[in-house]
Amino acid sequence: MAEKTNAQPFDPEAILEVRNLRKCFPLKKTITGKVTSELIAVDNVSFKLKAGETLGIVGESGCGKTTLGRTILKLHPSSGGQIIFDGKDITNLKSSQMREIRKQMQIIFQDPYSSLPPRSTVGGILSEPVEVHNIVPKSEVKSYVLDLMEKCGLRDYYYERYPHEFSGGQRQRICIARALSVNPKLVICDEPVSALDVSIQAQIINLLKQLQQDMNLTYVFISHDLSVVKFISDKIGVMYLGSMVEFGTKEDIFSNPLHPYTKALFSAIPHPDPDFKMNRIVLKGDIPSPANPPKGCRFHTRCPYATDICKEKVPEYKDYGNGHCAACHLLEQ
Amino acid sequence: MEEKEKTAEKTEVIDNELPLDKTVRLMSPTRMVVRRFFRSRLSIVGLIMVVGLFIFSFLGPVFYTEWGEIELDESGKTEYSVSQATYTVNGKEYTLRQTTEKSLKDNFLDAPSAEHILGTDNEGYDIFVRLMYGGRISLIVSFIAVFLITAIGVVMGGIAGFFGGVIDNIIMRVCDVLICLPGVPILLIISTILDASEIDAKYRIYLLMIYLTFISWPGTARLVRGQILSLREQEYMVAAEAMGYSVPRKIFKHLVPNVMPQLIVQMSLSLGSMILYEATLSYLNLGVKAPYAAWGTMINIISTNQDILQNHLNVWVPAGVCIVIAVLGFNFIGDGLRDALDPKARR
Amino acid sequence: MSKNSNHLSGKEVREIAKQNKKIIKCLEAYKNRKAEESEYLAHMSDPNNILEIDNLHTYFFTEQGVVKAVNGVSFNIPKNATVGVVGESGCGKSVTSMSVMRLIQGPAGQIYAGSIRFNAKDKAGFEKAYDIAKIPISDIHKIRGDQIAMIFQEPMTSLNPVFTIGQQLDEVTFIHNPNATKEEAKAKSIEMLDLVGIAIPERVYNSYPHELSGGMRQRVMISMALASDPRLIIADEPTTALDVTIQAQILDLLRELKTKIDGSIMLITHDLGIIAEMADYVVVMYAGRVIEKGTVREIFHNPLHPYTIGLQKSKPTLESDSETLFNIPGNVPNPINMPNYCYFRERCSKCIKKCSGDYPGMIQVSPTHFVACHLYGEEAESNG
Repeated sequence: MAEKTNAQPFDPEAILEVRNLRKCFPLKKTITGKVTSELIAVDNVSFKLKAGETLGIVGESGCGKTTLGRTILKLHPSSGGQIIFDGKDITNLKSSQMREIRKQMQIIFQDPYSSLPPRSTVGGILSEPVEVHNIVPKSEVKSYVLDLMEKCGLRDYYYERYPHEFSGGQRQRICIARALSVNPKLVICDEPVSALDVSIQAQIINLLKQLQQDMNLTYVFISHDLSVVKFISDKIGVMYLGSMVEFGTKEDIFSNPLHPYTKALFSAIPHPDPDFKMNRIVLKGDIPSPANPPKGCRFHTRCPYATDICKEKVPEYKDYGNGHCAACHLLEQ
Repeated sequence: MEEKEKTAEKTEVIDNELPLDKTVRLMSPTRMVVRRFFRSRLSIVGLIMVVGLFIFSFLGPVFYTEWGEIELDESGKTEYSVSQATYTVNGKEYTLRQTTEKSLKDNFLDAPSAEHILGTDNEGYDIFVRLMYGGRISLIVSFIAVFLITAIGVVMGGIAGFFGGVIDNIIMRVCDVLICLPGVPILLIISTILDASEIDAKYRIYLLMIYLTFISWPGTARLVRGQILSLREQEYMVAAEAMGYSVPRKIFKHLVPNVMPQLIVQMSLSLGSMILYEATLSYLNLGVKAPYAAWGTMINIISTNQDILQNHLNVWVPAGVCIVIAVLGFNFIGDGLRDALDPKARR
Repeated sequence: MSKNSNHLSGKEVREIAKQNKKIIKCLEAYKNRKAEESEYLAHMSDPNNILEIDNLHTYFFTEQGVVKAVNGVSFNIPKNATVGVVGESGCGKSVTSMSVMRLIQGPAGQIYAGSIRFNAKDKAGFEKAYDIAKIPISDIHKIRGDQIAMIFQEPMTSLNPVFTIGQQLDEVTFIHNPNATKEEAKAKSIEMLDLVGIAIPERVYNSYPHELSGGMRQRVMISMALASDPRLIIADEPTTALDVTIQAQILDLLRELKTKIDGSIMLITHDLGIIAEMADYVVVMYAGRVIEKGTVREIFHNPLHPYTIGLQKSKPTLESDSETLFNIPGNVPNPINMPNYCYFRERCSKCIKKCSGDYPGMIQVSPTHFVACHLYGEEAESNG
């Protein structure tokens, strides 16, 4: 299996290609270290992303979207599959080899409170990566950082202040500035706006878009909110319990959602108009535990259209034209 | 376009004023720590106690030079005794008078006076001066021990916490073993060995302190490991990982500074317990040996003579008070620091 | 130098602490006093209201200065209505609800001024209005939990992990009705669980909180709030911690319950979509003040305050197709040392000269619609 995927040539246009990526966390181990039960957080996920594009990944808690992001960055070792970044297979690189690649791929976290070290000033937080990676000569570090702060909408007198003095939106700007300080090519945004207020959310999304144009960045934008993802993404992947259930361009996904889960996600969003009446598909029941996923199609326990075959067989992830992929038995008929 | 014009207009209106967030001034983290520390009366009391003891022990002997640590008071007064004997020889009485002059060598067990502020002990040493020298020993020894404990604890705990896995397992099992060791019995054995090998009385205590360090570092190592384990999961550490920082940078620039608060608290609390340990050792005659002074040995005098325990309180109570002040002082400071540096740990 | 101007000096900190101590002592004494019931009886200005919040000020006396978390908030909750309180974090919406429950954490947090009149029902079934802000803390149990119940944001932490769901639900019944037998309490608890749409109530009754999912726990929390037949339910961000599909379930449930129970709901959220679906009346808060209030249609179809307008525009929806999102520039101000002019001035795109003056008062535009903005004052039109 591994040899077969290796034989495929890398797509020169893609900056990031993920092939059959798997990530398992051991749950129980015997004394000898043999894993007896495991949680499959990411199961057989594949996609390609061109430079300058944004991939939105949508899903509910426990669907493995955060794990996917961190596995792509190799913050967790992967359990199978391949990650190809900028024409180079980075799946099996050692951590010392990774260090050079690190500055080309960065991450922005959901919680702007715990992702900034509490005991450094903003200036310290931002100049450290610049100094470590020798981005600019030592004498220019401060002016470089101030320039970066301005780009990210931070005032220059914030330089001396500490993270605890800022509101969530400002902290998220600091996080963005830190991620961009090393001139990365790929930025993984792990729910960067879900902890923020609505008016600030819009600011941050616009800032991210602006920076993408200015610096030719590629984003993997992880979120649980479809309406946010819509504004920033070119392609969208919908995840449920560790696997990708639908993938396609933004237009395809929004105009013609194929998978029943995607449809349910769309209709679950409250509409800010009191007179708007919507035929809501309310999914019954809870999300099953990823440690003990249902057999067959993982969505069958909540799917309003589930049939017998869904309980038995895992649906195949197929291309339904123009790169619009989905995994559902209903579509195969 | 219209939007921009509007904002330009708007900035004109309020341009002469500072933006709102510049008018808000908060406390810097340092100021916040200092403020929280001094808000508690107990920590101020603790600070006064400890600083007072330091001045007393380290500057005291410089200014009060009346007596030395092992200088006996030999100003013994002369005692005259007259003995009389009457003999009758052949019906006639003769009286024989004999005057004997006896010089006391030492002025021992003297009551407090202008000459000896707290009197003298059973050997004739000045108690006040010996308190100062005893304090020096106690403070130096406990600082050395705590410093060593912390250094070893941070390195071992840091390695165990950061790398995890087999290394963590090995270090933690060593800790378990060391914590299981019965401290005092082994101490007695070592002390006997030291007695036999005739090491200078002055240096024995340091050797014993090294032993204490050896059995005490696991506590600090466990603390550091626990802290690092929880800090490692913080997102700013994941961010540091994603930045591609080197391992030493991650440990010493990002992790250790965030363990410092707990560490400082632990250090100040263990200073108190080390002073107590030192006093216990000296009391059991395992630490500093006569003629050198230590608070423990000074209390130990009561074991030589029941009379001193009852009638010469000035000999042993001051040393006891000093120990209590030192231990209480360090604990108060430790609690105050905990509240100041680590407000979540309260209660 | 720059450090000095950015941070408070030691002298200023001591000055703040001194002033705080004086005020807190005074307010704590008032809170802990013994008082006759007659002292905190109030008179509702409209008997059809269940709750009237009148010029409420809740302050936090911190080491860094006085935080005016709620600074002169007034609104009413009519009987059998859902009032949505919407605003961004730090706007004081949660502090308002905590003030109604008298759950503000002392000694730093204090109700500084204002009144909260609550139309309670006594044992005989007659209505009796209390001023919650004046009730001494020892008498608050008359109202809290009994007549007003609260649903919290975090269903993970608001249930006690060492007791079963049944034990925790029964306890509510026992507090409400001390003469109930165990069987009665259990029957009532299972009835409540059934009411909130739990499929197998007997099994949930015997399970521990950790065995339930987030959505189930929130259902249990709602059933707990309903168990004492409250006249007012305060739901503080009840769905924020839940996934969208689960949120849809809970919103469906709340809407259903609204028709079943005889009580009002105060729904606190930051999500305009939820407000539009659930609420009859809307109160928009910003930096501790109410800036606009009215019926849900008025607020959504005819928003007046620039902040309300901006908030609605900046929410991304599935229908809109524009390339960039509208956004309100700037940040929510830090509520220490607020100046006495419109707090939104810095972020507002419709500033007029008058905005550099005093804080605008509430202007009535329709019988139910109020807005605090200089744009709509009579003088503004002539000066404008």
